[in-house]
Amino acid sequence: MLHKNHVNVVVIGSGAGGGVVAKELSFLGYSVVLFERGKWVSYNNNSNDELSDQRNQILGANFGPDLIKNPRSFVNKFGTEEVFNSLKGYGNIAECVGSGTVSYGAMAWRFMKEDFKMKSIYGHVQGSTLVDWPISYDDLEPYYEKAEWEIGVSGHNKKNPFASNRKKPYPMPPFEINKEGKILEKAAKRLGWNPFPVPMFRNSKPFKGRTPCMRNSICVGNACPIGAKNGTHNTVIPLAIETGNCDLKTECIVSELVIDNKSNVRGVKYFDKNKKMYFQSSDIVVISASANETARLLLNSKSKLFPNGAGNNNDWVGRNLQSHAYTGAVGLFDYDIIDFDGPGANIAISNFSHNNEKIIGGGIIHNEFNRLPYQFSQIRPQGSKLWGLEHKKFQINNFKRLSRINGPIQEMPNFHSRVNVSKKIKDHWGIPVVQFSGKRHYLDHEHCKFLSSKAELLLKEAGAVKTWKNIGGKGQGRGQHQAGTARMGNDKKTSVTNKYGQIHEIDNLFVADGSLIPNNAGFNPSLTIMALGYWVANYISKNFKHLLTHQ
Amino acid sequence: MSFINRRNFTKTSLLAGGVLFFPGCIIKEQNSSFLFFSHDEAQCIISLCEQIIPADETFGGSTDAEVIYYIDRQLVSFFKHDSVIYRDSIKKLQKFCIENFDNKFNKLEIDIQIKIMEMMEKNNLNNSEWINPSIFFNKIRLHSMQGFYGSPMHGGNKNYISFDILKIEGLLRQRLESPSKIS
Repeated sequence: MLHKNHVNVVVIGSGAGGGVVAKELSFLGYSVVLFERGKWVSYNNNSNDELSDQRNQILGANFGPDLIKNPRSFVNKFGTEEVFNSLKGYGNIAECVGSGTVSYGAMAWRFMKEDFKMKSIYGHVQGSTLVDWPISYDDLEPYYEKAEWEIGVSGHNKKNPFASNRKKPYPMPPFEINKEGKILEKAAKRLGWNPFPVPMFRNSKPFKGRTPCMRNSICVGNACPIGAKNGTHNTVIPLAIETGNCDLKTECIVSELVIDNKSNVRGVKYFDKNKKMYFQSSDIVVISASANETARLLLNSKSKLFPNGAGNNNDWVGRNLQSHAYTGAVGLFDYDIIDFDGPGANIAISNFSHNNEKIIGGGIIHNEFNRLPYQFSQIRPQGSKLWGLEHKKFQINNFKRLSRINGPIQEMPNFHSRVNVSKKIKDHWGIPVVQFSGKRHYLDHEHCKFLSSKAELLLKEAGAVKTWKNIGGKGQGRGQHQAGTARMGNDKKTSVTNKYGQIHEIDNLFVADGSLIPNNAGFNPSLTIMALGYWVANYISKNFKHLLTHQ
Repeated sequence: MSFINRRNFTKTSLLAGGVLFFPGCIIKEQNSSFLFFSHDEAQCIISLCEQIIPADETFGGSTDAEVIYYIDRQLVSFFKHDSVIYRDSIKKLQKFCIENFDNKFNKLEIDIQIKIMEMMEKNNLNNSEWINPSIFFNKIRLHSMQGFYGSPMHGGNKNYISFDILKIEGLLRQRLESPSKIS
């Protein structure tokens, strides 16, 4: 195994968390190696077809990963291990520079104050590991602000009365509401609710040398043709590389953390694109590989002091896996309500995020991203024919007449929903793969019923001639918005890291991604993951200054 | 009523030369252009797909969109794991049809084809040893929708037929054609 020159910091994964950490530390003068198992991608890697976009993934995913090289398994209802034969249920996060931030829908939510204090507000939930975060909204607020201004977010500063306090306004004004949004906005106001424009990582005006959004109707699941959708790939990562201190290694997969007998991480083993193994030594390692892959890497890194995986002496690594159960309702109108102004989703309601009777937490609701023809072919009122002439006629008559209101419910985390590593299945490089087991807490489905009823109420008020609910919350949360597998906490017996993302008992090993999130709130988490990246990087920069003076 | 209309339309168009129902795929098939299906298997699949998204008075259906090519191509790549169930199911369906109707599925009257498919959907094929036909039926139902409503780059949706039907050609076509496709 060849050894690479020592660096200060290894960052594993170039998504929302890792891109931010690499930029922050390289700006301060730390030498950084940023590992990414995928490549740079661009609009030219889009198929612009819904069957292979990053949202539907029926024929693979344009931005990876490749299923053949990267198998995963799950424990089925008979208790036996089964390998995924498609990306359905695979828990995918894009494999490319910027990861999910290249192709996401780009909603830029801050969590609410209440989301950080769930146990204090709602008490113990039977069968759930619901807790208070070890940090508060106020702790994270300056880092939310930094993420909004460095990555670029458009939004309205006042229209959402439920948003927690902000010190600085959004850097860009909100987008104009589309036709569907205007109709829903009026209806929501009639119901006494408080509709407001969805905050977005998209440029509503020229921002930092990049062009404004052109309202591409095919946005979610694809890269932006003009770079107006902001992710780490077109903001912080290029800046990190410009410093000369950050070496981005693409098509390199980290297989193991090397941990010595003094409880320090010494560096990582990785494979380059020719499947050649190297050792990269470093003073610090930061893992930002997404909730599934971060847990896998920790579990695969066994050492004398950590025989069950790095940071796993109390069996919390990989536990507590959650994402978001999407739920909502569909309304059929007797006129064309969809104008295909991209990306579609742009009006939201946060009246049901908290303070709901008999509900723990809640979630936002919003109009959906533009639906393309195949996705639409799967949406029909209950009892409808699913094929044949009637099905086709529905498609022709209603393609632009259907409004869908959806939202992510705050899931109740539980100990048994987890990522493990397979004892049998290995990937292309011989590394044991992710194995899922467990399922969502039973309350998630009940909470989904509540949020769906609100969505249906809005559609009825807006004048839909027919409405029906689609209620989520069954199965396991493991795909987009995945979180919780290396939760932060003050007690090492019930968490994996401390409140700075530092692994308990390994002082130079950090996590900076959705894995840290103890409870995932009722919002898309990408802005929170970026804020956590700034938060973790800030702690490292203040506590490892000696590394700079010794260079 | 709509079934009758379509059936009449189908018969009329067949009598009138069957332009819509003898698309290029059958001709190409004789040049061994299928990657997975045999000639006989393809005829069965074409008939199933056509009833899942049938032609109507105004617009073409699965046969015109060449959905068969979408499914054929995926069965040797992304849907390789489904190749066995396709092959087995075609055999079982043809056996059922020959035993009960003295003919192959694709040779039956369209209203009989639809009846059989409704029974497949409900796991209700009388006199059949085929216990779970709905598993296969749901697969071919979804695959037909994908082949009809997805991008032509994967086979199917020939000449953007479904985008024309939904009047979204201006919205999607330019953007579908603009990027250079990765493999």
